[in-house]
Amino acid sequence: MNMRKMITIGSLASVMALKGWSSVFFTVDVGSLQDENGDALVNKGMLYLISSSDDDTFSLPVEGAVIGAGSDDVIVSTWDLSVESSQGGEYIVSSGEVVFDGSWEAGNDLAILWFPNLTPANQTPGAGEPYGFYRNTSLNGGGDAWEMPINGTLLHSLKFFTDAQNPLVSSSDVPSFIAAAGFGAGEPAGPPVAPSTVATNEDSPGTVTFEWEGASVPGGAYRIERKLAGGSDWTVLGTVQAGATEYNDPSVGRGKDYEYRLVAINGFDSVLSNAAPIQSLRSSLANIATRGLLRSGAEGLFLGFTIKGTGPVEILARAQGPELAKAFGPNPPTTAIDPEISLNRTDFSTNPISSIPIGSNDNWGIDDNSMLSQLAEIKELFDPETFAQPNSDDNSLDAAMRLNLSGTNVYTAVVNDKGGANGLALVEVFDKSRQTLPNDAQNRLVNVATRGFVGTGADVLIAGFIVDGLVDSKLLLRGLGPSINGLTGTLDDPTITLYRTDFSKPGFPQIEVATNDNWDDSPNDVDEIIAVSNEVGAAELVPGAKDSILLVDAVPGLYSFILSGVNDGTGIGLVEVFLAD
Amino acid sequence: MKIKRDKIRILVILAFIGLASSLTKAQVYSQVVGAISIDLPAESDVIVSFPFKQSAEFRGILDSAAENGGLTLTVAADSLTSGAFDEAEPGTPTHYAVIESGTQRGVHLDIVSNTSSEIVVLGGSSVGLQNGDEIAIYPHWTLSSAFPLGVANQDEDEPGLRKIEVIVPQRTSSAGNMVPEGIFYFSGGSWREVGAGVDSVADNSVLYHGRALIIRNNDTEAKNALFFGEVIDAPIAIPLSESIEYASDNFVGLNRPLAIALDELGLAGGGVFEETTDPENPNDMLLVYSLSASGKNKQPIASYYFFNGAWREVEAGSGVDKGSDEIEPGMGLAVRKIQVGSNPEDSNWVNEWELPQ
Repeated sequence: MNMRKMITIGSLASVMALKGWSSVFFTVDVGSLQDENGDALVNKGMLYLISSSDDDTFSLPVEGAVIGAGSDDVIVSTWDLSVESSQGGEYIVSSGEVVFDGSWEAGNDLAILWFPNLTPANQTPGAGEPYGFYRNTSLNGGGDAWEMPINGTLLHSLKFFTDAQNPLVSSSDVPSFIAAAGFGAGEPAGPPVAPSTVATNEDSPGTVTFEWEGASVPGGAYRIERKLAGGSDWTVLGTVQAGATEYNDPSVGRGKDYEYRLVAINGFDSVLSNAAPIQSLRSSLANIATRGLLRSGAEGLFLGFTIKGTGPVEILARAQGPELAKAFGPNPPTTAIDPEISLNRTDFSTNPISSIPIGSNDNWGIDDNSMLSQLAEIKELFDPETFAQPNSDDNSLDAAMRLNLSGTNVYTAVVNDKGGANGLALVEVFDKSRQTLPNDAQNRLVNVATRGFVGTGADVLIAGFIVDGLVDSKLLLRGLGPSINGLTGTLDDPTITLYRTDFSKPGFPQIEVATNDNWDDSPNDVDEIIAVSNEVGAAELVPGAKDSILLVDAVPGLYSFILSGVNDGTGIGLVEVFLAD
Repeated sequence: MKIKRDKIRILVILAFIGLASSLTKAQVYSQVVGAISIDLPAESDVIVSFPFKQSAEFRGILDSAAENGGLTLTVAADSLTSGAFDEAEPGTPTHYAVIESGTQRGVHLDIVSNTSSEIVVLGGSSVGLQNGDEIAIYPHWTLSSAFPLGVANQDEDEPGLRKIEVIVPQRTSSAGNMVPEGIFYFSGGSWREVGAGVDSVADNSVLYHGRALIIRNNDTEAKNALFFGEVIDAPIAIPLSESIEYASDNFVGLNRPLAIALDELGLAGGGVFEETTDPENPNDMLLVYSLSASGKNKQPIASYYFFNGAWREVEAGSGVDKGSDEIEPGMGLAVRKIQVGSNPEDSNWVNEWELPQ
């Protein structure tokens, strides 16, 4: 049986009616109050606990009065902060017994006001007298509701913590500017107004600009938040002052679907804007092209690539020998005579892992499967649809296939020379999806790799690729030898060097971007390499391995990636490029 | 009233241990110690009384008592260590004396100071005290002696978000009000008082005998408070106040380790508790607070009055004898004294109790 029930039982109600007064008791925890300059309010000023009238609005301070004239708001309790203990503006104060006034009602809104420059002897605000105002409308902070409790409440605890460091709490998401005495007696104040419009753009690649109009936040500021579309957790990016109308976010990832919003916050309330979506720019791996010696058996050229995403993607795969010879001019080195390309998809559902043939081609003008010419379809993917330069001879013995692939899969293109020349060949894969700047859900090339024999001089393994887009991309580049499993004759000590073609200078020189011999050598960040390797699915190398790794933020451009042996070592090597964002 | 006993777990009870005081030339007694565990529901208040005492630091025989501006109790010469029971500071006693026999049996008196044979106490009366009365001196429970590691071992790492608060209510307040006298929390290895600064130390704050206190569990998880000490099997005199301004709620604790039926309280029938003549308008009332119910700012779960020779409960009606209802160990109580027209007086509710054989 509780007291409320007892009061309802007829004449006994009069028996239980309270003789004398009833009261409530408050504690207020705040961390950390500030003065009008944003400095910690330590051992000075006055703090008031105010109850609103029935209309749930507060009559704000004016010249001459803490509560505006004509209001039925009441001061519930008052504290002289000069005698309260504080280290940096934090306070835990208690009200003592507060007699419950007959005009009060449970549920009336409560707020605190602090006047840095008032004292017990002078509690009359001047014109523009600085003060702070706070009422918790979101019931966060860990305390009781900022409402008048029922008469007879033993203890009603109000909490107000900001994100400023203080000894009372370890964290809070209430911005510290709320705790400043940002209002002036008699001056405009009140709840913030949400913006009427919001918008986003990425006119400056790599930086999203979030803009808004029609908002106001007297005595407060705007907090900018961002989340991934479909996610639920908003990340606070920062705060901007009341007069701002835009926020630049340079911390965007590549190809992400974001939503931005603004939270206008002052001590009265917080209001949200609508969310403004944007898909951030991303660059892509447009292709990879590997030139190397095309030998027989395990020393053939093997090109692997990974397609990631959900939608279809158009891929052009080529193996060139005769066409490559033309590129060398009148005295070409030995090149493959009649390259043949076979494409397999790796099936991870079997044990052991198996390869499923997708298709093959010997001469690019003839489709080996249908015996129909794929010539026209292949030509459709030549520049500018991809970066593939047109073949000069429709009837050459070079090989090519156009593929429509979907889903996340790993593919391997195996290239052999039916002519047995043991010469140089060029193996290439081009991704048509570069035209659409794919986001995370769409298909794209995320990994390419070529295995081949690493010779010396012109016979080193050279991979070329294009980072296509407007923003840089994080790439993990690997040159493996000792860590290639299951093969003999691998390169003992590979080294890799990345070059970028500088099209701004005459002759388009190759600019060295970075080089590495052993993957855990300085200045490589081993921890970051391991983390990125895990993200992209690259097997982690053992410490001390002589394989080579580079982790680079690659600006859009044409890159060459050379794998060679230290001290002219030779053997089978593997070059890999992973898109890491 | 039906009280859920499963919420109270008497973990260890009634182990006889020989306790020898090395402080004084006291006799050696065998005392009974026990422990009681009380559940602290999540986001709830539990109104409790400390069911045990600490070990006596002196036991002896009263030689004489004299009032010379204050009450001075005299015991055998050189039986005390001079100053051993002095106040920590004016108004903060460290020990109290209990008259354990005679007409004032059960009376507790806070000690102001002592010499090797004299004990100056706060308040009290020499009337009825006589040579041969048994007297014992106990240290007060303080926050640090009662809960050396905090209640439920809760050491607050965020003093602004206190999970456990100990609220000491005023001894007496107007009916329907329970007003905090002090609010405490344990942080950084010490007890702190709300309003005194996060670096204040309140370890020596006294938890007075016979008074209730509130443990507020603000956490979303239930916790458990352990009470440990010596069983009080001597009479207990609990002071009660009344007022000419309002009905007075006296928040008291019955410091017993086992449940006691209302008929065994010794509250009614002795003139301390004003019996009811008209059940529609009860006089004094005994209010009982649940140990197990959830929620903060609790109201009593049962209200009793004494009418026509028996305890009655408001909800059950005046025709039902509720004298067998039990007060559980650790339960907080309030004795509501009706408003008096004149001459308000303090009185002592003397509870006599012995361990079951």
